[in-house]
Amino acid sequence: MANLAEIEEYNYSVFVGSEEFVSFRTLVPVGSSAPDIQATVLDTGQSIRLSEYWKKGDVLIEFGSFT
Amino acid sequence: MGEVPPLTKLYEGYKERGFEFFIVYVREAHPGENYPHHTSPEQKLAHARKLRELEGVKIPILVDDLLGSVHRAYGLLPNMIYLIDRDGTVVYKSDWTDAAELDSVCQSLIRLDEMRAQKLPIIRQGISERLHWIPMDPALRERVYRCSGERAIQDFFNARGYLPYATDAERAKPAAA
Repeated sequence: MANLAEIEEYNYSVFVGSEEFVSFRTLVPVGSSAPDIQATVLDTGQSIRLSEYWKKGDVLIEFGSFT
Repeated sequence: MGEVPPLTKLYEGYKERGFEFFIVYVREAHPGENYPHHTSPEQKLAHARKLRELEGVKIPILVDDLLGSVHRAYGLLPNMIYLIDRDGTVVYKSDWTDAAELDSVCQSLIRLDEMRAQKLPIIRQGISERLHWIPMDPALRERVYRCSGERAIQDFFNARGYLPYATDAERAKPAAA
């Protein structure tokens, strides 16, 4: 289990602004390899590596939350 | 998640043409009384199910872990878009959903496949970069406030000054009174 403090910091309860947003421009630039990380499929509850998708075709990923 | 409808339209068009679409469910961007910040994986899954039900999301949803492992690796903005080709290479990234621009990039990937299939020479590969402007949808903002709770409103003000798309000129200007 990951560090509790890190989890709390990531899942802020009030957004106070963050320098981390600026990293979007330099992290994973166009032409670089997309990070291949596991996530949980909501429909099945199973864990899947993102590369399972780009093995099948060109992939469009949208990040989001309910709020 | 206000850009769901335009993206759904693209999804319905492009899934027939070999594209894979998915949403990565990350931390609550504007946690409020009704949808607070996540403290357990089960709660995060439950919020993702709510999104699917209440917004009628058809695009498959993947849920990131509680630490935000996928989110951190891709840049931590709340509504990023990435297009990745079959080699796993990032071919397009955007800080927000711009449906018209995405449509054009997907078309260019289809053209590239056609050129390869016909063994046509590809002149050159290059990179473009741009600023884009997307109209604010007041109805969306209203909905986020209503769903998430009053406390979420303050977030919009707190976020100013930290956005990666603020230009140098904008940063240099004194804050409006």
